[in-house]
Amino acid sequence: MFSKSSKEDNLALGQVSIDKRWGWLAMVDRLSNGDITKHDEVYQRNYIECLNLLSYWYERDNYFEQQNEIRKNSYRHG
Amino acid sequence: MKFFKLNEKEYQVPESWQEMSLKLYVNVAKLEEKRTEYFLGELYLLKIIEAICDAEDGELDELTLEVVNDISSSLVFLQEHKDWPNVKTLEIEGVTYVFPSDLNKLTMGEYISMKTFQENTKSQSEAIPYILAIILRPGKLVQDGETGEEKWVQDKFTANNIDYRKDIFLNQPVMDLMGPIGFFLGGK
Repeated sequence: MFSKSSKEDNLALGQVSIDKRWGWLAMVDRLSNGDITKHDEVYQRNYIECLNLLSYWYERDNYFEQQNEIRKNSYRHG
Repeated sequence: MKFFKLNEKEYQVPESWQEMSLKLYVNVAKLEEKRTEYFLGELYLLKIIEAICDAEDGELDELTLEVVNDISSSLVFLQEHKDWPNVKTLEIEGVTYVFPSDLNKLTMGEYISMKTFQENTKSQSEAIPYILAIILRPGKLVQDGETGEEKWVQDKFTANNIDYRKDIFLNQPVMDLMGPIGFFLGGK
């Protein structure tokens, strides 16, 4: 009855995510660099090229995040 | 095509894939997805007959066992392995509809539209007519100015006529339509 919502649980764990219903819009927004006037151009591009680029960005972001974590931990213990 | 009457209404039963429309195929495919919900083989057979006759749920409950057996003998083709022919164009009511020459060249707009329909329909089968309405569009035969080679070019994709095209395709023979879209039915 008094349990926290899953959103609150995620926040408590430091995990935040965008609602699934924004999935495609979020992808197009990222590919257009947040420029709504470029959305139509994204829709005309090849889907494999777009999905590959998004996968690359995802991995690159994860890599930088891990690097930052390592750096933060080394400052804490250094 | 086999015919039978029940309560003054005449029903048609396709006896081959050539006689099967997309609408009837989707009816049967939807049922196939829920097959495990039917514990009784006889009930499932009756539901298949309803689906293939495009009858409402329970509309054929009064069929006699003799008629059910007779109809089921015509449905053997459903078990046969089918190779969908890979057609490039389709003529419907004077309009030439063109399949994409290479599905790897689809645009992000086409891909997102297809995935959105796949996510928003209750079953994979229900999404088939929408996927077709996205990838199978009117087109023109265009001649290359340099080589003289002719090739079919699709009209640019817009979301405007999707429902219109979907309704047209539902009445077409499934054999003409399914070849190029198997690629997209592998998963959500």
